[in-house]
Amino acid sequence: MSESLPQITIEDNDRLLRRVLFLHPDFIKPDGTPSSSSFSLKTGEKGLSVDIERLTTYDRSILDKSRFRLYFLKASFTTQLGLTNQHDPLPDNYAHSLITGNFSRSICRLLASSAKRINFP
Amino acid sequence: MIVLLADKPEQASMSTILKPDNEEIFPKWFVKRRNYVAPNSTVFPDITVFSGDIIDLLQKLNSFTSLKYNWDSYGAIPPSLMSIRNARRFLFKNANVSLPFYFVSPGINGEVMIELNKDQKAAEIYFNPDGSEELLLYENNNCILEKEDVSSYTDLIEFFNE
Repeated sequence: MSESLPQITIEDNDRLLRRVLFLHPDFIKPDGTPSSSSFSLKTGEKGLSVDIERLTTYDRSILDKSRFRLYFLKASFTTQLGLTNQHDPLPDNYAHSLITGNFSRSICRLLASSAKRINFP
Repeated sequence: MIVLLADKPEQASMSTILKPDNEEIFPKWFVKRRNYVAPNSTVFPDITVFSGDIIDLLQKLNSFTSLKYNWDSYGAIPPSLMSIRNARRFLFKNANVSLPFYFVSPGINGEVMIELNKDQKAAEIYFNPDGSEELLLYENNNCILEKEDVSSYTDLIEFFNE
């Protein structure tokens, strides 16, 4: 996190965007939900990287439209699971945030199964 | 599967010789069809006997070997060869067992996950880079069993068939 960038408070109705690979290999199951793995933490990672929707654009957040699709989680849902949402602005991505807490396999599955797809592009 | 051409009939299996109807038009070659992998092998089984679903999963699994670092844009490391090998072995071993194979995906820490799904029941099996395995059973997305030592899949089979 950059010290010079002001942090905002994430509201309950904020939507948190996460990129999910849909090609080579696809992370999206036949029923349209993402794989649990796409909402898992890498070893040593502080939290799950997401973008606050109101601070970015879909075009910016998706990085590569040919490989990714965007899914969102309601901030209120992650807090209901006992997780914490924290704005973590980066120099090249002010919308960047982290969802922190206990990411057990079952929590990852709940996050993935509750994520809703953004109809973009 | 590969096709071998044999110039003598005794070099080919009698059951797989495709003898030309018109020897004046077709060259006097005999075709021997041979499976590319050793039949009855548990290491290289004959995948032509598997269902289409299993073959699709195996093909997707094989594609994981080409993944590079950061393949998910969040810094994921590629699946380890051990994870892929163990997942493949699981599919080979259980291809003809009555299990609802559904999905396979790489994990971000080098693991491979195979998901089984039937109605409101689901199972995730993780094949980790260190060779360990984890089994999680879900009903309506609620985890009802989590095992780190998966020496047998009795729980899994009973879960989907009870």
